[in-house]
Amino acid sequence: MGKFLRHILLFLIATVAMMAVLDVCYTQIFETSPPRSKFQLLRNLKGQKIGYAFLGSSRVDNDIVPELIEQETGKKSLNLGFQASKMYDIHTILRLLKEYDVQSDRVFVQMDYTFNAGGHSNMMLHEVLPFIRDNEVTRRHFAVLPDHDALYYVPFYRYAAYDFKIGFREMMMNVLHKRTALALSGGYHPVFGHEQKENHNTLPDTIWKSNPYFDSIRSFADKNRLDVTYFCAPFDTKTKNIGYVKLLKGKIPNLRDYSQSIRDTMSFANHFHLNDVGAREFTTQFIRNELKKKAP
Amino acid sequence: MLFNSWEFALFLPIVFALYWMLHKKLQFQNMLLLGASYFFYACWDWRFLFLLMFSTGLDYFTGLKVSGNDGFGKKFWFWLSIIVNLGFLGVFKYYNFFAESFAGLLESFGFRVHLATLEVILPVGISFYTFHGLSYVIDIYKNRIEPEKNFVTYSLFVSYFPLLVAGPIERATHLLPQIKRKRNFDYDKAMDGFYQVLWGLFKKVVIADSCAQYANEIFNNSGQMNSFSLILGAVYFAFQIYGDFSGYSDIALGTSKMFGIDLLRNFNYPYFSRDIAEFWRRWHISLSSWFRDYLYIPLGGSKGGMWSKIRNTFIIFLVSGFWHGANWTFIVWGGLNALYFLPLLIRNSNRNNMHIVAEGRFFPSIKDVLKILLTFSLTVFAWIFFRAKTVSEAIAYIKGIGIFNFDGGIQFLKIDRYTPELLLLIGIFMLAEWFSREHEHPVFGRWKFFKAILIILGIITLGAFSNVGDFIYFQF
Repeated sequence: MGKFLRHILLFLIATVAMMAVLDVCYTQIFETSPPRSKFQLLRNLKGQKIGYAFLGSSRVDNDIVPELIEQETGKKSLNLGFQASKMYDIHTILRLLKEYDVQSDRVFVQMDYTFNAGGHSNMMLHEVLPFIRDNEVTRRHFAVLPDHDALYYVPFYRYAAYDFKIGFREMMMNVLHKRTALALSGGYHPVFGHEQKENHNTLPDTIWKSNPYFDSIRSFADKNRLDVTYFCAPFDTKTKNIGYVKLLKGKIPNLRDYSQSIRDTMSFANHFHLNDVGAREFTTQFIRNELKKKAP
Repeated sequence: MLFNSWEFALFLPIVFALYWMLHKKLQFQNMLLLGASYFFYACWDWRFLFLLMFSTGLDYFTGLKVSGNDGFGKKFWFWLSIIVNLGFLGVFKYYNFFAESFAGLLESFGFRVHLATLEVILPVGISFYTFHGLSYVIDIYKNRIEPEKNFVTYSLFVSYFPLLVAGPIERATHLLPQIKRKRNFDYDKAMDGFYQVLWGLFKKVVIADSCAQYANEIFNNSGQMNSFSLILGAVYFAFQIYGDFSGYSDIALGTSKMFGIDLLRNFNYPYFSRDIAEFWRRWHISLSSWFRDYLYIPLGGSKGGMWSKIRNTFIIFLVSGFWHGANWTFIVWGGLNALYFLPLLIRNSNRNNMHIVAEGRFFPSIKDVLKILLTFSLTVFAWIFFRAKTVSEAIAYIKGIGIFNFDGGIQFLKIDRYTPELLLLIGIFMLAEWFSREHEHPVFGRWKFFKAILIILGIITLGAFSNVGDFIYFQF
């Protein structure tokens, strides 16, 4: 029995050792490879200066085309919209701009029904996870998860728990320096076509009194003297309860309202998201109204 | 409690330690295993524990009565056991199927009926422990065994946790003597069990759960897939179900070996079979042999004319399909396998391939390769019915393959994966199986320690942990 237990113990030790070694290797690879994910793109800009940073949800991810901005203004910009992002996630990204010392002339934060939402985006977690030990901001981003201690302390746990996104395949893609279209297009994630479905077409009819994470974003920007502009990306004209944007303006008086700036339904992938044609049209409008105005 | 869960990783060492601490007292060891088994089962739904206990009590009691009576009394207790056991199975597993099929049949004649369906959960493992009990009572009735007098021993035979929820379906003649015999710790056996558990975990977490992601995506969006993707989807499902069920069986067998008890082997490299008869001697062996011994042979087996052989073969395959679930898809799957079997039966060649393929050789002959590929293709085709939700869905899937539409070539799935990406992993897995086909699992020989380390490394790096699924056979 003793021999058996010794062997099992040996396997346990070997398992932990392998997990520790793999953790170091994976993290090193994610840290040093050319960026594939949006978060890697941001992290890679450590200590650099860019023109514009766009923060928000999929309504930034799908709607802002950095390539056009660079063409028109000559300034590098970064689309930092993450699918299903909430204020909590935007707050993290804003703090990381500071943490990684990425200086941006202006920061644009997209605001909409996310003002009525707490929580966080699961879509962003896996991109940040390899860098959980980077700094306090990345560590604290996971504090809301029940297994945050395991993610932080247990070697390789994070890569196993999120294996589909940052497991062996993604690690190999990093090793092979396989770039993604997203990384090559400054974080823009185009959507093509037009959905005929009528689901997800209604905005809230009331607005939260306040959103603590929005307050944190605002006070962080003020404290760090960041030039932050809040804007609302376009909604399809058929969207119900569009009056919500007025309520939002009541909360954010200097909100740039582009909610009805694209009138053609066919420029939308669905009620809340532009397709590639719409995104280019909107970005052009945005450049004209917001960026060229201040450009020298 | 799943075999691939943290709860089980905690449960197993505790039971293992307590079990071997009690090694001087066999009865205490058995009581501990029984208690642990009931706890293991209650982790799913404690309410069904009473059903399990009732079923156990019924078979124990009727077993004694069948043995202690002759003539009418013997028959009475025997049939009581059969009817109650099958009755439970019928109510919990098949009532809704029969009610809906009957209503559908009447509707096709113009009668509208609304038969009440039951909103019941299928008790985990009911098909397995019912078959345990049935074989026990049948064996007593046929005077093959004596009834077990010790209630704890008998209860453990039915409820032993490694086999409780998804088999292998044990026989009283094989398991009961082991439960009654004093068990001493055997290092080699325990290590072999540990290695088998590791291999089972690899099959489940790496092969089955990875294949499941692709197979689910392709089957759920089959309308948008070209023929190549649909073929791959069916192949992935073939490996999903194999990795899932044989992985479960390996964990069950390995765990049991650590307790000094050998369970019946359930899989023997079925995808290297050279004909469908060989496949069924290598796939879910404990169920196939159960149907052979308790249905096929009582029906007359291979005795009698060709017609009765064909009839009996169809009966066991259709019943076997129905055993898997209350859905026409399983019945069609069983029927298809019977059809595959037919040419072998007619040519009397169903026992041609009794030995291991390319035994003692490195490579198989071309003829063997072609036979293996043909058998595998037939099996994969049948799995489409097994996986589909309805027969019409399966037919649509097959039509999608049949139109030979290869537009778009290699397709990109919504899960951010190209369809053929898993083939390399499957290829490596099949190579590992090929080189181990003369052994129970690949961890054997001089390098077994390093093989085990490699398997652990494979589980850590390639395991689909974010897609951990229940074992497919739990639903049966």
